[in-house]
Amino acid sequence: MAAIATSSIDTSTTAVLRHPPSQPPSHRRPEERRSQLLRQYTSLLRTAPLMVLFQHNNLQSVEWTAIRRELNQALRKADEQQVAEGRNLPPIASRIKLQIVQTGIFEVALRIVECFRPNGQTARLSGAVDPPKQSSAEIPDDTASLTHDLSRVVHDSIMNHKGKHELSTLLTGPLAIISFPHVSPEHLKASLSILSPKTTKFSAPTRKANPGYHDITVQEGLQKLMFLAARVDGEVFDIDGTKWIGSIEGGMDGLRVQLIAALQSMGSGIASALEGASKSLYLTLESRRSVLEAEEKDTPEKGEL
Amino acid sequence: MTIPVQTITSFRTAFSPFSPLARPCRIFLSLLQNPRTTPLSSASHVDIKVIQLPRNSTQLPEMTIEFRGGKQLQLEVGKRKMKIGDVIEEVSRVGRIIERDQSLKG
Repeated sequence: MAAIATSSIDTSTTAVLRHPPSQPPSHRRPEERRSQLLRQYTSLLRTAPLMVLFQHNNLQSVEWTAIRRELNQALRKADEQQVAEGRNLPPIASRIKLQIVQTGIFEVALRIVECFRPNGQTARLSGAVDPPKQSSAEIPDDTASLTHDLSRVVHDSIMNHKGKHELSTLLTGPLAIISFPHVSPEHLKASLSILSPKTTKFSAPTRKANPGYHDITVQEGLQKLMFLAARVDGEVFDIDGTKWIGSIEGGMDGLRVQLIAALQSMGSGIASALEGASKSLYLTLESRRSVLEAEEKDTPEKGEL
Repeated sequence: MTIPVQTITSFRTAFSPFSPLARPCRIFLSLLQNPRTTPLSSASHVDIKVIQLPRNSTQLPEMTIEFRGGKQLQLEVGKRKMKIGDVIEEVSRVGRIIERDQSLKG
């Protein structure tokens, strides 16, 4: 695909690619930490359909370790419970991460994921030149057609969208995010019962069941974590919405079963409503007929008498 | 400008995180709540109570700060459209007076 000038070919007439194909030009230098974080956050936003946002206020590393320990324990229990119920869901406890995010960079990543659309632009190089052939073909400057997360095109298009997303008012101050690879209400409930039991009213483990949870390190750390909101499949949910999602019984399968049951009952309801008119008419006529027959029986008997 | 956190004894606030007016409340919370002020046994313990309002609540964010010596400062952050700088200025002003009084007393 790339035509790279080699010493054996006359360089004046060979097409030259100005950058290696694996490293397209970016608006910001890709080796900087902020660029790497931006790519990590865009990846996170695209691959984690469920994420919960918290404000973290000066937690110590010991407290973070302790909280993550308790969280992992609770999530593994949720996994085991799913297996015990016999549901064929992959265990996701190891893929659920509680991490601190750089709020400013995260806000930019959110804008990229939610607002930017390439409009059919492709980043393919046009007119690929076969290296051994000499030609005067120039590989055009493809910077304008590149639409990767760090490209100039993306930067220019999302530059003016600051603060326009639903979530942008929440993206201030110190932020921590717990991300789930699938939307799993059981795991959400398990994690919220550990991280914010008071606000979500999901009961925390008791002292007998889990004495490690009531350790002073964990408790002081949790006091400094504040639940903000949840982002589920691109939608923003506040505390009440998150409580509802966490309380869905049986997970997504259970929700589908409930939906099917609701649709079926709705169908039968319509059918009975439509039938109802004719049914009531039939019943009225039947009762009238039985009354008339009874009268006929009476009158001939009276006549005979 | 630094806030004299050791003069603050209590911090109560009510806000909805979805409101842009609540930004100073959240930032002030992150300034006050740290490993020195959280433990009950600490000398500079601050009693922090946060009420999170629902998303579509029309109630404006506000905060109440109590200082050592009984002084109370109520800031209507939403009504006065205060920024974090204004909040810090007001709290620091009161706090520094108290700090000076206490250092003079002995």
